[in-house]
Amino acid sequence: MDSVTHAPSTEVLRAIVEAAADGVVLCDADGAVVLVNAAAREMVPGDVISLLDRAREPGETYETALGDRLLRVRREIFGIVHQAWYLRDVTNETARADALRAERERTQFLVEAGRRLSASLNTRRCARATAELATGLLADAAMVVLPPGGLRRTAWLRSSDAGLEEGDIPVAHADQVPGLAEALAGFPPVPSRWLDPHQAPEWLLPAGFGPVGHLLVTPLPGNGVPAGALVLARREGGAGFDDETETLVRVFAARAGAAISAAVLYQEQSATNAILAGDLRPPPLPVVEGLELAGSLRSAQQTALIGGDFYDALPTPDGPLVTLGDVCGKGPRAAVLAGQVRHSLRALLLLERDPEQLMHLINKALLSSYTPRSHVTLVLAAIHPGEGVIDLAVAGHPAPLLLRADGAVEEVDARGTLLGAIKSGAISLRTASIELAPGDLLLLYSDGITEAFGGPTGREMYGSDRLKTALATCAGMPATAVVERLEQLNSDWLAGGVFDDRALLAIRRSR
Amino acid sequence: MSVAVDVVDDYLEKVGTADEFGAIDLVLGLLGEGVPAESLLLDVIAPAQRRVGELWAAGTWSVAREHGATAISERAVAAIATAVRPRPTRSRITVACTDGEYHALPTRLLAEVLRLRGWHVDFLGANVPGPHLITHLHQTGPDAVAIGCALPTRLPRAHATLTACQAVGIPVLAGGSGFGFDGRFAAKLGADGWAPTADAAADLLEQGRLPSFPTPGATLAHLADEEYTLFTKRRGEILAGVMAELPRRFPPMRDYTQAQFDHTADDLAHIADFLSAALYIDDTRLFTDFVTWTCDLLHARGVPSRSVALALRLLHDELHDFPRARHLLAEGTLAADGA
Amino acid sequence: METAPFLIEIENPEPDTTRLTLSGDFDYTTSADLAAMTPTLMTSALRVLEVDLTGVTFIDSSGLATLIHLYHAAEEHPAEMRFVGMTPYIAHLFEVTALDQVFNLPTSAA
Repeated sequence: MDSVTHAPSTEVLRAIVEAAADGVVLCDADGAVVLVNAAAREMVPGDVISLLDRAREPGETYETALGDRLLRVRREIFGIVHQAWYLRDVTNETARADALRAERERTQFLVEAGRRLSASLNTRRCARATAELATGLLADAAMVVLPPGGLRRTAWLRSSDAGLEEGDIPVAHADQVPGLAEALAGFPPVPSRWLDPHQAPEWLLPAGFGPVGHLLVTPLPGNGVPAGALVLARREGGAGFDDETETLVRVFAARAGAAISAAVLYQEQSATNAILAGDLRPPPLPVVEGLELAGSLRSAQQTALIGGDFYDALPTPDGPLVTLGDVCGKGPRAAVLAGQVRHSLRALLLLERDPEQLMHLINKALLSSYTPRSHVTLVLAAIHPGEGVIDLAVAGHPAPLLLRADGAVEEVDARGTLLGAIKSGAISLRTASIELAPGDLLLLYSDGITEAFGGPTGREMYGSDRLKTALATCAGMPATAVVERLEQLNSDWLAGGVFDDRALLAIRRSR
Repeated sequence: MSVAVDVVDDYLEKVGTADEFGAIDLVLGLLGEGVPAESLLLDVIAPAQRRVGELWAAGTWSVAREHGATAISERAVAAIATAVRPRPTRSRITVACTDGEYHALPTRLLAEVLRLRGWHVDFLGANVPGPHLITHLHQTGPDAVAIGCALPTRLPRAHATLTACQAVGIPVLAGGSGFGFDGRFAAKLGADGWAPTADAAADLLEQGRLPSFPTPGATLAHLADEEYTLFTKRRGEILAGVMAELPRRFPPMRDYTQAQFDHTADDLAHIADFLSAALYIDDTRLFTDFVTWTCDLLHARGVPSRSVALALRLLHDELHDFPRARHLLAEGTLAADGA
Repeated sequence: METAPFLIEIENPEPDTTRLTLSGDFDYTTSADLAAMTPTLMTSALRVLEVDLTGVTFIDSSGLATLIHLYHAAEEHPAEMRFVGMTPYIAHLFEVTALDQVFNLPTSAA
């Protein structure tokens, strides 16, 4: 080895280089190897020169494989004339980084899974989220088979690079996939199962998926309620499910199962509620020759939209009997009583059609009711569609308003006692009979309209005068438009404030 | 088969004269001749309804005539929907107007277009309370919810609804002029998609351009100054102050009848609604566009718009602790003076 | 809307007379107070129950129901229940519900 003028002696260089913890290969200006330190010799027992990439600029770092090891190499200027190549074995470092990355990926996956699965209380949305989440990190295709809702067929959702697919299979077909029927039964708990890919029936995979390499069926544990099963498929040639993935699948399945089973319970309850509440909501109004009927009901209880205000239009051979009323109280309890009043009316109508007599009968029925404080205010309007005559009885309720075709507004002169309130059973009623000319309109409303607090200052009661003024601007409008406009003006008055149950019903004689 | 221009005039004439049967016969007749239902909805009824709005704004049509025409269009839409009922081949979509929004027809048109294109549509109608919408979403699990908003003043409530839908994992498609002519308010409120028209919305859904799960929405950082909150809370006393001051600064008001006085209070409340929406969204043009529109509307009706500029100035004076509102009002005053 | 707090004041101007002075919003949320108190008002000495509604700003159907309940309780006791003060708003409400024909109202307001 030649010594170089004005450069440190080889001994000095050796002393410096041997002291380094990294492997060092020192070259002279021509690129000839001057020194290889002990660390470098240990790292690279054989030919070290072939690892040195001379195309690299000084300061550059690159990684290169040496058998099953990974070396990181950096080229540097060393002193005045020498070039140094620093070598470091980063095999373990990289493995740790890979493991860390994989761990981070799994954590992120579970965080995202938690976010998506906790959002919905809908079975299908939860199943969709489960399938879509599982596609990618866990599998090439993921299918959620939902617990059978009935005896015959069961629904599934599948996500893959073909997009989202949905369908159902006969429950009996679950037997074609080993472990699936048990997983769907939900009890007893069964572990995940590997399947021989050849055992997969055609319906299990998207069309054109290609040969399957790995198939895993995992039950979705549902806390006592069946929550279905997750089927994961990976293509042939791809990696299999290692232990870490299987653990991840198990944790994921537990979360997905919890979300789906909660959704199943919610769906059952809300379906029951919907049936019960449906009966308490206002019915569609009948079509009556020569008349327009339109109603609107806003409930203070905004979830199921039921409350103490109600209306109904009951057909009789002589023409419809229209009713609008308000039971004492709010929410479901009031709605149930309102439903009872409507049913009583329907039954009583078989015997009696005169509004005044009906009021007495309902009053008696309410007084004998088991429900405490069954107080009801009510308007009954027996319509004779041919002549446009309406017989009215009003009990404890604001008197209806009449809008004449020319825009004049009158209050109907009828009033009477609140029903179900006075134990003696005596009520006094002043009934009225009015005549609707073509284009005239009769408006029934509840006090939730007139007692709405709001306005420019937010503290003012809407009041019957404002309602009358608003109604006067509605001359000539169809009944639906009148009801819509009055409701809108009232809502604007409330300006988003708290409101009580509100009901409006308009009867208009067609022109 | 496309629709001739005079068909729209014809239809408009019928709804404008409360000729319900004439309007329905017209659209059903065209349907029978082979005009596609979607074209009837979007090329006849929608443009006619836009004209209805313009005629009302210009003071040519009364409120009663406008409402009557809209009610007939609702029935014409229903008649088309009854006549053409394709079997749903696509998944489920919920369509609703936001809480407090009563202009249901544009949203109804979207619902019908989607239905015609094979979606399974649940149309919840006008003025849907937020909790009811969320319950419905849990019960039915649609792929998306389309929310219609015709007036920017409903945007704060639309935002609450939108966020609630996203929180239960359903992506939101925003539509209607309330979200801005270019959809900029929809973007600002974090909607997952926006479409200017019913057919554009249908295309967007068909092309799968909505995410399957909503992306977390942007936060409205400017709300931290609490101007919106405080203005909403003190709105009553602020407006009462302006109403008390107006007659002193605008003498003709002293001779106003109660009805005229109420009308002025309504106008002022309307200005306050837009001011609070502009504060919420933090958009100056939302407010200035409204001021210009109001002044044009008053001109069209032969009412001097001086009182608008005056009301804006009085509000400006009243709101000393509201720098953002004062800026909006100053810009609004310029717009009113320029109108 | 800000609601006025509901208050009940009880006085005994005479040994056999109890006077209830109600004020504030008497509605669904506040009427339970008076309902719960009703049985305790029916003491053995009670002959006259006076109810002053002058300070009541709002009554809804639950408030009305509670008054009716109170009226019935007094009737059964027996004691005479009479209203000694009310606003035109409440007088109108009693008129609409025809309770003016049941209750003992001050002549000036009825």
